[in-house]
Amino acid sequence: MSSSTKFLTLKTCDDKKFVLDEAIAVRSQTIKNMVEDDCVSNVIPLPNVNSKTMTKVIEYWKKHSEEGVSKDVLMDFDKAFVKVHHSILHALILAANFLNDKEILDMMCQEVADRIKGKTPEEIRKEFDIKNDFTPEEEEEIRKENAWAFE
Amino acid sequence: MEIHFPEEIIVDILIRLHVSSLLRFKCASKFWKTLISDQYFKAKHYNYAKNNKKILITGLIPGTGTGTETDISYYCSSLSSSQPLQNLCCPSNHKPCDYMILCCCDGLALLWCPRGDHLLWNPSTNESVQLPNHETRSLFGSTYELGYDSISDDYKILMVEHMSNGPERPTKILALKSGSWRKNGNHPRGFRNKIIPCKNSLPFVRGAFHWLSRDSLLKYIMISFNISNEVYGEISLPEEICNISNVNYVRCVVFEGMLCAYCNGREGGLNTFKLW
Repeated sequence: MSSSTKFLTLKTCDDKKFVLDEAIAVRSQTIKNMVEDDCVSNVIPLPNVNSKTMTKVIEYWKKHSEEGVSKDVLMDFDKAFVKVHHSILHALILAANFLNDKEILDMMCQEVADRIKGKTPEEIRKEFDIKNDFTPEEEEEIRKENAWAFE
Repeated sequence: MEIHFPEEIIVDILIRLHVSSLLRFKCASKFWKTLISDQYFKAKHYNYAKNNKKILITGLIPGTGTGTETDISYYCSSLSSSQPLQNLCCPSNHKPCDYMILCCCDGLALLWCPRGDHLLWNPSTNESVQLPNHETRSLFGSTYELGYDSISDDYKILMVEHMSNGPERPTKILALKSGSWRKNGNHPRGFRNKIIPCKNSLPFVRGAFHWLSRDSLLKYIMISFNISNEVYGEISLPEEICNISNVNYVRCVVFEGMLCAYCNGREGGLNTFKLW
């Protein structure tokens, strides 16, 4: 390990601490900005991210920072990485959004899109916890207008 | 576990979806309906799709049963991923075997039917509009191209006639919002258009259509036609191309967003290919 390696400590909302190479942690634009603005003390608090989610994020960061990993290996890794329960998927999206990691955010949004594309409005409401605020007549109207999309 | 995404994340997810899913999801709630119908969202959805190019494929399927009839099917394929071909419905109330694709732009296709009418078709939503009729000599005597004019926020279709021997070489333009064809008059120097009749041969780049023509000395030049102010322009070609003799063909195309011209001819007994 070279002497120039710096470590950062990240603290999640459930008070778990993660010690991480700064070079890896700056994959998060949010952390990078903090480091560049010199406002990093000993510990970086991540009030919006829990430890379970952070473990996944760090797993991704480490794999994608490894040297000499082939594209195929990374693709397989990514494929496996997105195969998680939808609560974890949603948590990862919020974490990636907070950490401002476009790569993870992109991949996760694509995964959600792939999962919901064939769904019905009812299933979408369940998936995103949306309350149906249309009257039955209003809903019928929209369905009629876009009838071909329901075929 | 209940998680509520901020609006920008919902947008980020939805822009990846096909139009049919989006139309279905309009029913989810008032908020989703407003979000999906919003111009800003539509623009984002369009821009996302633009970066993930797809091609429209016409497939000929020999007819079954009746013997001589040939059916045409349309397919859509993504260039960036290995997703399977997507089978498209044909424009409603029309038999696809009647149609030929003339040109495409921004996911819209201009179709032509031997009966003489033109149809603008959006394969993603399967919506189509019949275009107003206009006099044409024949399909093979004219070339069409579709372009988007950001100034009038409208699509325009340009038709250029070629290979006609009369003194007139009119071009016609149809602005979709206006609903009728308009003659543009001759190019000021009255060039003889030299367009190879094939699809997408009036390349549309930076707000102008382009095609090749020959001046009175039979030199090749490139003509441009601005989509917004509808004014002709000229672009001279390098000597090697415009003075070529024994030429097989000269064409102009769009190559990676840039206009280019190429020719193929015989020089000193050798086949040559020049690209500009």
